[in-house]
Amino acid sequence: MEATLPAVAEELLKEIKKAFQETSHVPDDLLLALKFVFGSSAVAALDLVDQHSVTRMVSPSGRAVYQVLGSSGKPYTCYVSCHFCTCPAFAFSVLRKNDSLVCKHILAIYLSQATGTCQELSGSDQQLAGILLAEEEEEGLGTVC
Amino acid sequence: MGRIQFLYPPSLRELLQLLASLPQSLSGPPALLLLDGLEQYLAGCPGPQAAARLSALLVDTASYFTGRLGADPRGSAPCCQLIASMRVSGETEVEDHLCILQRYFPAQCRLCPDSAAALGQEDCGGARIFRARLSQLGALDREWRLGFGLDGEMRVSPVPWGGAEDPGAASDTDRAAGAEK
Repeated sequence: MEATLPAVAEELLKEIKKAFQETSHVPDDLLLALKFVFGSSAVAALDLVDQHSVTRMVSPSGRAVYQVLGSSGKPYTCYVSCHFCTCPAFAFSVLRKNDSLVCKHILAIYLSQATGTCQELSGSDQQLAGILLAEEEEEGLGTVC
Repeated sequence: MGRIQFLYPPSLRELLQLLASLPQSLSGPPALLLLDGLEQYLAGCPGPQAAARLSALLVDTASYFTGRLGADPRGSAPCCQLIASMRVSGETEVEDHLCILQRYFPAQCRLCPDSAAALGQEDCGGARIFRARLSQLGALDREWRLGFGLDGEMRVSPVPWGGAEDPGAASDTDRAAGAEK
């Protein structure tokens, strides 16, 4: 993803990628650091990565978009070049309250890139445009994403 | 002018559709996406996430075209720039979206009437004088005086360091010459 994170988060993801390339797993100290930097999103994002929930779709024009299957099975759209997600947590915790850097879906994308577990899919330009415009989920009490 | 394509999406929905399908609509990657009247589209955003989507889709579209330009060995521009302009008129809803915009547009230029000229403290010869202040992360603010003469000519002069003034609160006649990526 092209968007920038704080330097400490960028370095951490680089470390995770390096460790995973060398040992095929993420050591505990980096997992703890991940939780420290990203809070409660960290464990949830790791679960999404374990479940291979992250898919990158590319169209013939070369445009790309991510879809991440949420815990409830709903797909959320995330943009490739900047932080945007259609999930309610992004709207609430990231945009409104500004107390999270990213939602778990965006973090799952970063982690899937670091661990090479992102699935790739091809679609038509029309399909991709439709995904880019997928409606955001409304916030609500008890919304699971 | 032949290399400029003007498009007029009448609503937020149509602007979003246009941006999502722009790769198919244009014959080649542009070097600049320029959106005027962002406040009119933001007025159609029901909440912050919709404002974020609009901003993010603008950024994502420019980023896509940057990739196309970079991949073209004949390309004359290194990247696709993005500029959006908006008028800030004190409407609460649009003001609320400003903090969302700042996430996606790291550089902002505010354009306001020059206070000294407006109060008649300077003889401007009938020219309209504005102050433009560019703010971007990691850099000092920079400021210029823009004069639009009676002959239509625009003159730009930098404001020396220490001579910068607060452009002041936006009024109905102010136009914030928006955000630049």
